[in-house]
Amino acid sequence: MNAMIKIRYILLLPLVCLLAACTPSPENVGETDARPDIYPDYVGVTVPCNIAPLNFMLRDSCEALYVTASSEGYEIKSHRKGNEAIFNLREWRKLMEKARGKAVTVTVTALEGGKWTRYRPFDVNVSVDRIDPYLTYRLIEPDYEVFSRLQIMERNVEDFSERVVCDYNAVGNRCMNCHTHAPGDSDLSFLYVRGEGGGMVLNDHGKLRLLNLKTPDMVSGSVYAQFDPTGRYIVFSTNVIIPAFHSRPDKRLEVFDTKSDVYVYDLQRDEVLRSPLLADSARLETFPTFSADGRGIYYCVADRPARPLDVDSVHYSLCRIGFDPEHGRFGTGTDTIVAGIPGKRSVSHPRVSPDGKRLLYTVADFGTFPIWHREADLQMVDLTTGKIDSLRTVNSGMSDTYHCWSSTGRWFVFASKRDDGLYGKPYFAHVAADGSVSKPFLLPQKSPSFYDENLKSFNVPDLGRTPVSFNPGDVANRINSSKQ
Amino acid sequence: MAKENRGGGGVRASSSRYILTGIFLAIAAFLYYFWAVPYRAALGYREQLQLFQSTGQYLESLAGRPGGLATYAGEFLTQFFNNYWIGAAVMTAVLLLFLMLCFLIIRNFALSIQKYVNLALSLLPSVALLLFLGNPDVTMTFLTALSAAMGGAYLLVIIDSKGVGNTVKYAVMIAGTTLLYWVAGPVTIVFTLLAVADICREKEVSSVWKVVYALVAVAWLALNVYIWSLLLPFPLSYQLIGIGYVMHPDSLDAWQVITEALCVGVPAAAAYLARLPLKVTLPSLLAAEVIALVILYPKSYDCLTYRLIDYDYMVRANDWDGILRYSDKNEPDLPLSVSATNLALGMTGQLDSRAFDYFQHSAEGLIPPFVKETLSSWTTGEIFFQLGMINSAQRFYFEGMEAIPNCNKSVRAVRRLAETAIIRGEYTLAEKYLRLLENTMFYKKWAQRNLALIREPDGVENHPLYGTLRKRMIDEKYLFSEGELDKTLGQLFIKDSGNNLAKQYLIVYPLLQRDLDKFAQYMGVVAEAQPGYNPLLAQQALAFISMRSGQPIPRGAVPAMVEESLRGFAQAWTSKDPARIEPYRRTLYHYLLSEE
Repeated sequence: MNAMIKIRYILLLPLVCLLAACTPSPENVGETDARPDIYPDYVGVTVPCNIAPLNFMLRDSCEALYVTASSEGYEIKSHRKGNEAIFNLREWRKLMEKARGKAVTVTVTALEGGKWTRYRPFDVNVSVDRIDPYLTYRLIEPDYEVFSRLQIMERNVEDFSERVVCDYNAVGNRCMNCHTHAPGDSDLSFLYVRGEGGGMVLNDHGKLRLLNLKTPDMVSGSVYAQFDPTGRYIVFSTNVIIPAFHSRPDKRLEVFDTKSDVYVYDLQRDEVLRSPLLADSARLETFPTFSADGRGIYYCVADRPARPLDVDSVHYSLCRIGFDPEHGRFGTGTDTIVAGIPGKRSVSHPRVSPDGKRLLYTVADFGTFPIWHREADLQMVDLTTGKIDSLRTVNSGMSDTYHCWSSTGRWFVFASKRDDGLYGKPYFAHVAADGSVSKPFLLPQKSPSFYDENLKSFNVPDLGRTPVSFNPGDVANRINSSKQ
Repeated sequence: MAKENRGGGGVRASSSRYILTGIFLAIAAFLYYFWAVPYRAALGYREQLQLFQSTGQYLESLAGRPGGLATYAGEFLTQFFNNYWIGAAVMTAVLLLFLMLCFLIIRNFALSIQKYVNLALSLLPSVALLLFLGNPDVTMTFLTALSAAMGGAYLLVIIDSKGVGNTVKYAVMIAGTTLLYWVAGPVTIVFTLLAVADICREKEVSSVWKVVYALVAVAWLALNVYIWSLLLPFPLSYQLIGIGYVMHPDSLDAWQVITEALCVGVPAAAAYLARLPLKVTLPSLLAAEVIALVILYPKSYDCLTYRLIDYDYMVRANDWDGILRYSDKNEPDLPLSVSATNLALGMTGQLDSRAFDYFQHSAEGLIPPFVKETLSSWTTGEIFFQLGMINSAQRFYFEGMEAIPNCNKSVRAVRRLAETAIIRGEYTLAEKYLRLLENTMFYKKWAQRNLALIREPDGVENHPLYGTLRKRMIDEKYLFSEGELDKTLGQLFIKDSGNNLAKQYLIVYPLLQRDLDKFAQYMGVVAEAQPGYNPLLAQQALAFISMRSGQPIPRGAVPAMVEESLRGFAQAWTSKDPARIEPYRRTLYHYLLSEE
């Protein structure tokens, strides 16, 4: 397919050259002190030095755009008709190399109504910290109950190449859940294919296994899961999930659990490990994740409400239980790290930084499904001091959640609905050594209007250092062979 | 003498050309009438199940799969179905093009064939295609793909007739197969087999060469399929059936096979048929076609399916009077048709007086429960929209779009989603949908008008539709329950007593549930806000309650005519004589007692 795209571009080259020749050049340029209204908003963001070109568009309509990006005496430009700035990949990479640890100054000059105007330049900070190049995510409509055309994709953030990891066509348009890498090993991962004959598809360096972790005493199959740092254990929750619909215009969908418990699966011994502290029928335990050293499990817990529909009275706390990885034993007590506060704070999706110093989680007013809560925000707790950072530079007025750390702990990616309140998009934020977090930036696309035309949410983005070593056909074969 | 003969021949040829043109025009007129009048809803059905974008990104998204360009062309044509007069002309033009291609290919395969026989033969695949189109899920992708394959085959036959060498023949076949498979998909088999048939009819070509050519042609097509299968995430079966030919990607309709087989078989057999006496072939062919149409048409154009499509079309157009006229002719008895009829009654202010003039089954006839099916979801979504339950309307339109079998997006749903987002005050989201619609031909102006509207400070509040529906929306916070819809209807009425539709639904809902206590309770709520409100069904229900409880009907509460009719029904019902009961079959009284 890529080859075909290349051929098309070669055929289009003369036409492009012809069009470029006709693009008007800036003359009699006026100045304005205003910043350009660009999308995606890259003004003042911090980006990794290995990021793909930050192509953008001017939201105001214009006839032509002349954009320069420069650092350390090296300048590249995008000069095109229309309102889009698209940079050459090779030139961009060279610019990023020059600008490592410094800023790139971007100057936008637009031809609007027959008059050229130069906007106030803005900076893009280029971090020396590289980001894991492979981003996997599920592409899904922000639907209610009916789903279609699900895909799990892998995007190389260093360029614009994207490939399908699992496709709805290959697995009979069934529900698929997101792909999750092991923290220390990018080619150890899993995803879920739901429905009859499905289960957790474990990718062990290209070799796929279908795991059914459900035992008769569990309330459901595994739902939320994470690897431990060694890749030997998978901690997972089992949840009875109910969708419900809001009456008020400011809310859309509520998803809540009526039952949930947490377990650990030992891949080496093919055994499910249990603790009564994590499977209390009077409580809802969910969203488990291992600590960075694998000696603890963080999870969220709340009391079961008297009536299932009293979901706004459910507030999850973030807790921790010890775990002995040598013997596969749980601790005998639990600690509350961040307490849920009625009406104000319900914690979900805890993720520990690879160095174990920080824990990133989502807070919402109540409940367990922050992607449908506009007020959902990210917060970060310093695990050594217990201090909570409300991440004001990161959060928006819409849902910000489904976060994942890069292997270095210098970046995290999360899904944000900040643009339109409905379609989640992957944003990246830089975490400095002192824990300060920069303004996040949206995953760049080859076409800046991509997100306007796209009707899918980028669900549960996950970063990996290496590409996934399987394809949709492998998943389909695995599922089909297990059916037989 | 010779000159006279030539002259006479010229006149005959000329008149024959006129006759032929006349026949073509008659066929065109028939096709145009067929699609513009009885089957206009089928055009609208196809148009609403796509969101054709005139953008490079959309083209690129389709171009990466075999048949993707045919889909692009097909969807481009389908967008004209938005207007059935233009749509019928487009459909007619495509079908005539196909007929013409059949005609031209047959003429090249059988040079001596008589024109009328050729036309009759050309009609065979065309009739099959028309019967295939009876399946409303067949898309224009198939038509454009098949036309491309036939056009390719015609070019190949023309090139071949120029006496080119073997190398050129091979090159054209090889390049044509690859190109066509990319453009049109598996219907390329028609091109491949016609290429083989074309070689096979050449007397000067040796049998060995013919066999080798046939094997190479088929193997080359198979290789193309195999290479694409390595690049695509689709199962091989999708690639063999044709991605996008039919809405359901994994089902192969027999008429698709028959149509493709006739596209190859008829030209291949044309030379033989041309040798048969005209008196035999022409009547036989025409008789076969007429008989096929008469026998197979009802099966292909399934009456019940098209009835639902008609209802959906009128619901989409908010043609309430049209729905009632249609229901007067065709008894509505399925959830979609019953709920559409009830909505039409409500929108014309007749639900609380005429609901039982039509078949009723339960309260689900007012608001059907959610089913994972596009048309039902959209009809129910429209009921919610008109009632002012905008959250539910949004959900049902969204779910309906997600239930489209070929996973397409929908202009109809996106338009309603933009509207629900505007009413809910989600302007950025509305803008996203409106920008998408700005990339379409028929919704561009509407989208631009709405983009301008949401940028005006009080534009939405003052809008006759959006402003009204926004005011009707419920403020109370709760999780929606399908089992308590009547309570939601009550809240809608309390929020806005001018919501006439909600009022009628609120009153009729308990009657359809045969819950007269609840009816009395809801009537009390309505009467408090509108003391003079006393529609026919309320009068009948009151009379019925009084009679059942043995109490006299409150003086002046119901007209004498209602009392009389109830007495008449009571006598008929107690007589248990079906003939006497029959005139009351479509009354509230009969409905209330028939299930008790």
